[in-house]
Amino acid sequence: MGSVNLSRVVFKLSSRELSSDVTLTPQAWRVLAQCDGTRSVAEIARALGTEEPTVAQAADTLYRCGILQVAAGSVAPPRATVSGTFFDQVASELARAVGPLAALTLEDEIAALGEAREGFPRDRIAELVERLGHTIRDEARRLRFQQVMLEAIRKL
Amino acid sequence: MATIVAQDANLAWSGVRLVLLNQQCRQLFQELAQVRGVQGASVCDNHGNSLGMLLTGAGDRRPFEQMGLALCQCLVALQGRSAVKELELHYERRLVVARDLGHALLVVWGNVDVNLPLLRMTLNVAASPLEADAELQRGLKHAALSRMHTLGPEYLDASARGLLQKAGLRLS
Repeated sequence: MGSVNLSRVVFKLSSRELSSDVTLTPQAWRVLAQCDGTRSVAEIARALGTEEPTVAQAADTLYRCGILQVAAGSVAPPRATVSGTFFDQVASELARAVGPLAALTLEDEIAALGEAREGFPRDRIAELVERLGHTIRDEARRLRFQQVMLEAIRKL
Repeated sequence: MATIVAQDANLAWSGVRLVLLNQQCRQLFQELAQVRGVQGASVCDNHGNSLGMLLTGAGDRRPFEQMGLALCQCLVALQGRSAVKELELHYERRLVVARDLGHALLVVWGNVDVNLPLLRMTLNVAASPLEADAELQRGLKHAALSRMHTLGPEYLDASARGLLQKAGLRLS
């Protein structure tokens, strides 16, 4: 998530239960203390006298950890997307499992999700891979495909 | 930081069998701990006893120790009607997933907004070594023979057993 893109986003403390322990850096703590549901990331950066990318990075980390949530009325943070290289890898692995129709199957499943390769959201990749897995009849090949894709998703 | 609670040695689990169990559970839990939103997991035997647990944060683990039995009962009751292998349900403010691992049951709990496809894929990949380990499956069966045991009168009252029988389950 680019730091510039969070500029107008307003965060507030999340009411959600955390899934694990979180360690805060002093910088993250300063940012967290300013997230009151009214000030944007850019405004917080100005208030702290800190560069906006630094504040955006800290806010992004806190948001991903579930400590912060987007305040009502704020612009939504942009969704992270997947690069075309990743789809080449998906097509290549799928071809190992189902043969030359893999590229067509991939396009069909992307379309079935109502998405396109360009701007495909990162948080829907697992959903896509799961759908592709259902097209592999052989259980061992399906498991191998999921293993490779799981590793690839973790590297994104 | 995630905590993995391993099985202690007892009459059913000792020696090589215990090492194998703890090794397979550890590998499975390490994979699950990488899924954002997962709060914990437990591997249970056919009687719902916890054989290993993953806890990704601080907190009371006792409520989770009792989930195995309830989910074993649900799974075996449903399997009397159809080939159910996995349950996904919302319990209070958590998502709970139970996966049949042959003679073991894996229970995972986490935030309701956990990426379910990612969790399912991780389960497929991470649970397959435990499911396919014939030696360990023999050990699990030896320790707790059948899930039907959890529908016995020592676990369910007469009305619950009556309902199951009405639903077509043959109880001993």
